[in-house]
This record gives sequence, C-alpha cells and structure tokens, in this order.
Amino acid sequence: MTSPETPTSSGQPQDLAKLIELAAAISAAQDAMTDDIVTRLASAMGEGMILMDRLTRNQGLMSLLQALNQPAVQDNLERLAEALRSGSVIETVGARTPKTGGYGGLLRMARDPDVQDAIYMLARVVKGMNPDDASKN
Amino acid sequence: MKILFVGGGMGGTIVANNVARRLAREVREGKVEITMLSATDQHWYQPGLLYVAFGKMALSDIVREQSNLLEPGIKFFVDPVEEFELAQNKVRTKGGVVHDYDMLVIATGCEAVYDEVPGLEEASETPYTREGATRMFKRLRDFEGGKVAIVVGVPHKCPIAPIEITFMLHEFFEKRGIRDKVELKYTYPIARIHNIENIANWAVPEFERMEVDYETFFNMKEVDVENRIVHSEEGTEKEFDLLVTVPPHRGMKVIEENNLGEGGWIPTDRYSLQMEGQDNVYVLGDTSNLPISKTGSTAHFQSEVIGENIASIFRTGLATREYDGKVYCFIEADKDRATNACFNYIDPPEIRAPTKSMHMLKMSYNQWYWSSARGLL
Repeated sequence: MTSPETPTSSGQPQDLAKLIELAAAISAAQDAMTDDIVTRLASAMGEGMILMDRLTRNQGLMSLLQALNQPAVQDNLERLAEALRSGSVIETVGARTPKTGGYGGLLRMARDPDVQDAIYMLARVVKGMNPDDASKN
Repeated sequence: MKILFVGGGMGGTIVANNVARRLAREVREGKVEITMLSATDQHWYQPGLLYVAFGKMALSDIVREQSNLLEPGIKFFVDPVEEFELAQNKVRTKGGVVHDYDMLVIATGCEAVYDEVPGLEEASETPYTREGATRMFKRLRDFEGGKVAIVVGVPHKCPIAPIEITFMLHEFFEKRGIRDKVELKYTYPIARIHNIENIANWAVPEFERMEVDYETFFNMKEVDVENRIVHSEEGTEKEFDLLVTVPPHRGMKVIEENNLGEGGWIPTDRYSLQMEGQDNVYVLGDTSNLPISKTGSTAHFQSEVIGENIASIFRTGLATREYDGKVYCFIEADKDRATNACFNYIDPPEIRAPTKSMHMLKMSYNQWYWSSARGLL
C-alpha cells in the first residue's frame, strides 16, 4: 500500500522514455540544421509575419474579405473560376489578335446579351466605387 | 498633433512605427501628423556587421530601403536636422526646411570616433563600420598566424561585442585550422574583463578554455603603427600582428553643436525618457546619456515606453509607462553555440551555458529584425 502523496503512476518510465525520445528527435533536428537553413526558414517566417501583419491591418482588404464571405459573392466567384477554366476564355485570353476588328466587330460583340450583362455589371461596380453614389445602390 | 522623429536608425524607426500603429486611426483622420527626418534613405541592421566581418553575411543581407520599413502614415524625408530650436518647438534641416512639432523624439544615435587614440584608425580592423567589416573579413581570411590583440574604447555600442568578437575570432581561426598559430590577446579598460560582473565571471573560464590571454585596466593611449604596438594609459603595451578594435563612440555632432548634450549625449530621465527640462522631447537609444547598454534592444524596449506614452498623452493627456532599464543581448560563443543576457536597472543578468538552440535563435533574429523595425516583434 502506498500513501496518496507518493507518485506511483505506472506510466512514469514510459513517459520518461517518451521525453528522452522527443529530446533525441529535437537534438537530431538541431544537428541537421545549418546556419543557412535556419536563416532561410527564419527569413520566410519573418517575411510571412510582415505579410500577415500588412494584410490583417489593411481595412480595405478586410472589407473585401467580408464581402467575399457572402454566399452570393462566393457563388459568383465559383462561376468566375469556372469561366476562367473553360476553353473559350483560355482561347480568347491567349489569342494575340482579335479574329475581327473595327466598328463592325465591335457592334457584333455589343449585340451579344452576355457582353451587355458584363458591361452592365462593370458599370454597377464603377458606380458603386463612387462615394457619392455608393449610398444609392 | 504633430509628432516629429529625428533619426531613422533602429531606434527612430521602431518608435515611429510603434506610434503610427497606436495612432493609425488618428493619422488617417488627419488628427495626428507623423514625420521622420533622416540622413539617409537606407536602413542598416548594424549588428549584422559583426557577421559580415566574419564572412557569415553579406552587406546586401543587412540593408533595406528605409521608406519600405515605415508605416504608411509616416511622412519620410531624407533631410537631416541641423538646428534644434526647442524653445520654439521647431527644427531646421540641412535643406533649409523648418518643421514644427508638438512632440519631438530624438534618435540620432552615436558613431565610432578615432581621434582620441592616435594611430588606431590606420592600424586596426573593426566590425563597427561597413567598410571596416568588409576589410576585417579580408584580413582575417588572409591572416596566417601571429599575435591578435583586441582593444576596447569606451563608451561603445553593444557592450557584449568585445567578448563576442574574441569568441568569434577563436572559432574562425579554429575552423581555418590555424588556431595553434594565433595568440589571442584580449584587453579591457576596467578591473575585470567586462563591465557587467556576471558576464565577466562567466567569460573568464570560457577565455581560459579557449586559451585567450587577457589583461584588464588597459585604456588605449596610442598605437605605434610602424612597430605594431598599442600603448595604454596605464603604461603597459601590447604587440600585435593584427589589431581588432571596438572603437570609442560619441553622440552625433549635431547634438553637441546645438548644445543639447556634452559629447553628443542628451541628458535624459532614466524612467520617463524625456529630455531633462523638456517635457515634449523624448530621447531614445544611443542618443541618451543614460549609463546603460547602447544596443538595439535598449532602443527597442524604450520605444515601447515612448510609443505608449505619446499615444496616451494624445488621448488622455497623461503618460502611463516608465522604462525599467531592460536590455537583452545575444552572446555568440564558439562551436555554433550562443547564450543571452537579460537585465534591467535592478536585476543583473544571469548567464547560462551556451547552446545551439540559442545560436539558432540569434541567427533567426538576424532575419526577424525587419519585423522588429516595422514595430511588429
């Protein structure tokens, strides 16, 4: 029989073995580290911290993140990503010159309802960025 | 409220960013204007020069553009101050521009001077300047053996440097395989090998293990360049083939020329860090006349006090914090090991055995410094 004050955990030797194992692992990792490795890791961490600091204290970015959190905006972003992945967008963006040019080509493009939607959407965004008009939207 | 920072070194940058972070909203709303005046558009991580001198870092690793380190709300001008008109709350710059202020922070720092010891500049190598650190590495690389004397002037930046340089010299020559051909001779101006007693007590057995010869009460008087001998005020001398110096330092000339403090050191209250007799002027880091370590960490800890007090005075009219004399120094030892010393006005440092982990932390801090300068760490 032992007194309640006496630590008698049967796990103690195992705990000690684990601690020794952990210390050995840390020691091995230290041995593997050169000044160059430490410098590179620390530099990446330092620049990462600076980047995080700038991002998290940028009010504009924080507002944008809040906007991006809205389900409707996320749906739109998914559609945008889908569109970017689609073959026609990649081809269009990758093409060096338009297939047709001049006023005729412009008029044909303007008749496309999707293009009209895009122009309307851009107009709404630009209007929304005007501080005088933002409250009306 | 106009807050003016004079000096864009380690102290000036950290404290300006600290204030700009605390008063970011007020700066955006135009209630607070923060301006920094500096002599240069570059920001050097000065402790890195020691690593340059031993070939462990390049000069390009330890410099950034000052404007990139500052918070967006800070107006930055490369136009050093020439005249302080404290009674009128104004300064005049070299470019002739007058800046008025409600609060002034002076962080002009100090610089190595050689004129007190004839022959020292010509005969010695030093890691305290950019040119010196580069030249010192070339000398060390080409050195084939002989007597290396380490001589120390006072006051100087980084109190640990004399001991640290000696350890690093020992390690450098050991790695080159010529340690047995080199006699390391360390000297120090007072009765022990370091002015902080616990550091001296710790370093003596380390020196003995490394077979470093040491002599106390050695105040440089002059250097006989031709015969390669350093003479001390105490009448002793040291022969050398390579002379490494921690040069004496003085505050910047502009401080002395404006009668702000003898020797360029501004009389400063040790707790509030206000210039004596000037409630709206704070003094930071090496610029003050406080008898404490002239290190980046001192400026760092002081900047937290000054930053908080300036913000608090703006918001409530009252200062809230006092500086407790905190200093933190890494000490590079040999064999990729390091230790540290942390102390304040009351508690002396307790030096632990050097470890590889502490060396890795120091190497890491050399990179994290830029986060410190931005007021993040």
